[in-house]
Amino acid sequence: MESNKYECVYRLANNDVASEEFDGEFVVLDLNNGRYYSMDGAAAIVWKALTDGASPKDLAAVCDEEGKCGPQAILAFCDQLESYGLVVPTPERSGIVLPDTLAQAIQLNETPPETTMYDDLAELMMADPIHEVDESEGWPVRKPEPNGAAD
Amino acid sequence: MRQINIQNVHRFAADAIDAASRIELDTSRHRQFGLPGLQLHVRSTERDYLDLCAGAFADQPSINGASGKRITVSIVNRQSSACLPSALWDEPAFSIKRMAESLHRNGYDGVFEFDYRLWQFLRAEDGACIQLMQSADAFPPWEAAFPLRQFVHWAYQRSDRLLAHAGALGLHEVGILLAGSGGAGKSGTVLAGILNGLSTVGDDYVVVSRTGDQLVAEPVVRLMKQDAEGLRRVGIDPAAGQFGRANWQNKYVFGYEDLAPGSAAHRLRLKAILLPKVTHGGQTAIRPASGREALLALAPSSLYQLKGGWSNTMRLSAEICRELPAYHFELGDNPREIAGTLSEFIGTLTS
Repeated sequence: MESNKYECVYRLANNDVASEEFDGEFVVLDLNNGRYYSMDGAAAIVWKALTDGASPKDLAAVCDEEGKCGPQAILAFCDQLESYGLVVPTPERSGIVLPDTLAQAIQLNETPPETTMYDDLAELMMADPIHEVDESEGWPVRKPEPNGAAD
Repeated sequence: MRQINIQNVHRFAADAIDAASRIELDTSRHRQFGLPGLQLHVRSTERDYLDLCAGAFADQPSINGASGKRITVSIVNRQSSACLPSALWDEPAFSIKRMAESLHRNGYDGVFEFDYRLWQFLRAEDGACIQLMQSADAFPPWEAAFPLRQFVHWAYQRSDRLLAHAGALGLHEVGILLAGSGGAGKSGTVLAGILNGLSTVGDDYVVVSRTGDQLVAEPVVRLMKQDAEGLRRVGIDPAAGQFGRANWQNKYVFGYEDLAPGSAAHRLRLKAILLPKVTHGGQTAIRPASGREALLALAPSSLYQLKGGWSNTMRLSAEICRELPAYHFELGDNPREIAGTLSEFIGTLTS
């Protein structure tokens, strides 16, 4: 385990990541790529703790019982959130003392923290119609010529 | 030809809007529509597009008066107007989001429908807009049921209202929002409802706003859609003549007030959000859902279909889903039973 890596505090990656809370559950939208994520159960608890300033290391430490929501599962979930581009590590160190009840709430869940990702908006956000049209169609024209007649 | 990119597209927007505004049109080519909090002035070189608007909008001038925002949309096309500016894309990597952000930073909203080479721009400063088409009928087929929806969306984005991709039903002015992607059962539920004593402000798009501490839904279009099977399910023969031809989705488009006189409500006070689902089961059932589930039903289709202002749409949709209790609405097979279950449910919301 890269212990130093997990001592960080995360923040939302940028202003295009929107996190909406509903009674402890979350929907997170990343407008950079049109993907959105649903989080409930252990995932929602971990997401809230992370975005409130807890470090992955501290979260893993309080979830010290091995199992589906044990320390490895917590850290793997943090890695996943980072790889999705939802959060980025900051140089800050967490001053938050996590209550024991947090670990209990996480470990009450029978499934490890995981998020459901939806990418039906990605098609819209990632589309580049200027460069996706076949040249044989005649319009638009591909780079490096002027990209296409907009009219 | 002038070359444009995402960074300077607002200058093209300005020139296009100004050119369209200078085209002189006689009074027969102007129409005003009173939508909730929005005065929509449409001027078109072609009367057919004005007729399209007149058939689609839930125009309520006496209710919506002269208050609220005002936008003027000029509907123009290159075949009938030679003065319109042209441009050539010179953009190394196109992104609809970056284009929307660049336009917004410069006081505009806009999209380019590549398949139809159709420009739509709104200038916030004076509400002047252009819909620039290649020819009079070169617009996407989905415009027919709700023309100019992008402009209406952008105008509401700059107010405190939300154009939501949702349906609504009510009883005695108390209503529920129906959220879900296409095929979830919104229109079928609205159809069952209006044929069995409920009222509506729309099956596909409604305007949601806040009056005091109350969320309300108001109509923006008077048309609804249903396929032949859905019509037959409620005992209507689509071949009977009143529906004309099916549209590009193989759906029949008709006015809800025309089909069920008295069903058009001016406003519904929202008390819940329901997430319909076609289950092919026997009985209709209503069971609690979470706000998270409600947002997953409400927001994505609005975000997909209404371009620009995505962060705001997400935030306002989330507010609605936090405020209104949410329920799964598992649709049975019998439209009358669906409507009866819903009437009873709405009755519990009023007590």
